Amino acid sequence: MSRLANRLRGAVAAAISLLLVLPLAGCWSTTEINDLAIITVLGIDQNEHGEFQVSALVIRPSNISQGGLGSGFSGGGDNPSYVVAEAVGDTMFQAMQKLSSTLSKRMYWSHLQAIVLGRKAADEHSVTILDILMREQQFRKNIDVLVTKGKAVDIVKTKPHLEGSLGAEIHGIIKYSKHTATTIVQDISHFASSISSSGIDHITGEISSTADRGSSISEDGTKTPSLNITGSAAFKEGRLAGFLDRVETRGVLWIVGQVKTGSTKMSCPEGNGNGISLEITNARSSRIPKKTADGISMKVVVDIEAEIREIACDGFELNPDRMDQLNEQLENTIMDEMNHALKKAKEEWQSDVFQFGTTIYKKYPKEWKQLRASWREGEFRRMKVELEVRAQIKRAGLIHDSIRVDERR
Amino acid sequence: MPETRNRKDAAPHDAPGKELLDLFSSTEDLVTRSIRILGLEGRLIYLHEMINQTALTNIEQSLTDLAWMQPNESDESRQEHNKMDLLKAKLAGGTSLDEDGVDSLVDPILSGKTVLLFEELRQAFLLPTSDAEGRSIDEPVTDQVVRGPRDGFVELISKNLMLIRRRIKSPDLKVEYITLGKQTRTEIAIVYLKNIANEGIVEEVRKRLSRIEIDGILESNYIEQLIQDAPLSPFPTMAAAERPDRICASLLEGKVAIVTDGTPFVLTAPSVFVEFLHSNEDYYDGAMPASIIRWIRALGLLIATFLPAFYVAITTIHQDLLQTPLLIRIAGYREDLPYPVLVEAFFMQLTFELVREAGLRMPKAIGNAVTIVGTLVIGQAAVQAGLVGALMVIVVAVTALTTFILPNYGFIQVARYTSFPMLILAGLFGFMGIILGLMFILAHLCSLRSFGVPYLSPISPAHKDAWKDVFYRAPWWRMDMRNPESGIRNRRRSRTPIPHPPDPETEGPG
Repeated sequence: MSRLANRLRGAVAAAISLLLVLPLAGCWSTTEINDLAIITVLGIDQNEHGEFQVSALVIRPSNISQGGLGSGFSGGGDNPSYVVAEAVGDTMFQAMQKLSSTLSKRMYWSHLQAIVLGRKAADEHSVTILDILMREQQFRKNIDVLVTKGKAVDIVKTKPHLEGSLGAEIHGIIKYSKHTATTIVQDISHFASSISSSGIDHITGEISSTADRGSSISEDGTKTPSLNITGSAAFKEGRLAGFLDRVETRGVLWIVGQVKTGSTKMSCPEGNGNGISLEITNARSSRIPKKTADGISMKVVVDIEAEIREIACDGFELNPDRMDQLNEQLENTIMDEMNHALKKAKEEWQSDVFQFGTTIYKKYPKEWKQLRASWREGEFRRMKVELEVRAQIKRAGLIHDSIRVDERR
Repeated sequence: MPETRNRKDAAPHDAPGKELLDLFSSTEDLVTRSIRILGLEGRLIYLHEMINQTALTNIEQSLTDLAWMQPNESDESRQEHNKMDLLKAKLAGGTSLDEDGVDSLVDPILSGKTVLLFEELRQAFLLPTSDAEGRSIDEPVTDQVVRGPRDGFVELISKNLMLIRRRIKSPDLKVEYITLGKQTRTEIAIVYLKNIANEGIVEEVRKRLSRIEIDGILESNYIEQLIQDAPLSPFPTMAAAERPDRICASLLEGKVAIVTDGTPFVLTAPSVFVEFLHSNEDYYDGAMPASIIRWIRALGLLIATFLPAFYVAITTIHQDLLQTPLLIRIAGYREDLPYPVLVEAFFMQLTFELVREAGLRMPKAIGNAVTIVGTLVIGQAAVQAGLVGALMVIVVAVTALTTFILPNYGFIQVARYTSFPMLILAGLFGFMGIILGLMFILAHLCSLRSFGVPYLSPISPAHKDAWKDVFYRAPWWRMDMRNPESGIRNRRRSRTPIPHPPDPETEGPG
């Protein structure tokens, strides 16, 4: 009998220790899924009065999953699958609280897919915004933060083309635009680390809804502009420095070594045609700081392998000499792109989006200490950057020369 | 009882016949009949329903034939003595009433033997007239196999022992009888292979069985509950099986089998956790498919225990772990549902249990239809009525089906009912609760022992050479050793080399 009593005592101990879990589990308040207002895109603007204007794209799930037997209504075409909620407040938190009071469900940020900052908000409040993004546990630290030239709310309001919700759409655009090697989009954690580091300046994608880069045509012939990563926004010490277009962005990507694949175009050697399209198959780059008599200089070496994808030049013949010529031309094209980027970010803005500061710190930490103070006030601009590109075109596809029209016919 | 009236009323007071009949007073199926053999006045006493009438007639016939063998009539007492010797030679099982008393006749009568009583000589004979008829040997309902023997145990202990002996033709196969149950007097047999089984475990089984003092034993589970190691644990520490091949495999591993009269379920001890995930078909299949199926079964055990809890935890507490499209979809399904997921889960699990139980108790012909149709219709209707989400129906259906992956019926029930506390834990504490519950289960499993063998062996304590029958099922040419825990005496079970084609140089073709 005493064994049974022992066991009973064990069971009581087990029950008590179970109860002790209650305070241990940090998130023990349960919420049913249908009580969540799932927000997939967050737009942050600054209005004329200097207040935060927060716009959130809230999913209406019953309209997305139309086959849902549990839902009473079957979801019509007129009912959009989302709602854009907007609120204004002196602080981000206040604005979000006001937003919450307009929603009948609990705001749920864990499935946020993109954050869009309006130009003014990005320029003046990026550090404040970053604070709440890092502090609140519901924000995942891998959410992409984008900047738009206009107001973020206009982006949030855009109707998605393919996906049910704009969040998925933006997410997809970011994911697949990476293959063109002309965009760079960074998430909250990168944002935080680059803003708090002295050797890097933040750079992230610039999103806009433009008709010139692509649009969807509906049945009645009206064109709706589609969202696009049109370039990138460079920061300098927590403030917006300026915008780079896609070619300049690639210049940055060459230098920081983030191009893996992508396509590029060169003009015809004789100037008689539309040009030659190339696919970059492999790219490596290294930044090598060097101590010289007049301070530290930087050498950037880029190695590229490419394939010819299209030749649209009249009477073009591909032979080994031509290959060398093309290689050289490709090297110059890439050199140009890098120079463009350097000119804007380094000469005009003194924004170190190339991570040169960190590179120097890693190799010459002592020298960096002296440079650091005046890095963005002249030292960076003064530093010499030497560029070297080694390009190699490896394949030309199934045919060599461009197709010729037989004139005797 | 027409023949009972024939009995002699003039029997002396201390006559054993009277004593015996007093014991069986108002037992109207007891028959006593006078018989005269070699001029001796005898009496046949038997339970009418328990005996095989033909067998009795045959024996009677052979006894009356004795009357023709007239012994020489020289001395009265010698003559009687000779007659008795003749009978003893003819009939086995002679009992002297002076030595053993009347009580020794009670059990044989109750088990269907006929007593031939010579009151004056105070001598009795037991005639083997037991009716061994019963259900014929059939394919068992539980533990179905695709490949493997189709015979199953029946209710009669003699037939069951026959099924075992036919498979293991060895003088080392020992059978020890013990009668348990004050009223039922159920015959129990302890069966083991003397050269393999651990003598300590056999002794322990004997000891535990001898401690049993109960009115009746109607099924082997009575015994299991009375002798198992952890009486409060839901986990079975003895395995019950209906298939003779399975029991023989256990015997060959050095286990002890307990055969109970009146039930086709034979117990084996000691039993370890992994055994309940093994089907005997594993050993009849190829090593590779069997190994894969074992992993699937382990997965099935996890699903059966944790899937509803996992679903509840992820939808009420850890929504951030779902993919966004899935979250939106679930949210769409759950729009306007009145009850929390936890309540839904309970509702659906309960409904399934009700339907299952109804299907089991219903006549076989309609039982199957009710189980499937009932579950489908009720599930569909519940979703359409907006009582439960569509996903919940999937979760519960998958869980319910998965339980039947497990080969052992007792273990299925454990898996099923563990899912309920896990559900509550998950609903209250999320994954934290599930992990806590899992740890409690693991700690409990670690603490269990079955007849001295740790329940989680050979995983913990680890016996690496026994793992080839745990994590995968090694081909038979690799299974050379028995699990050291159960068959210490004689560990090697195979010396067969790896099969290989003949070497053309040395052995030639063929």
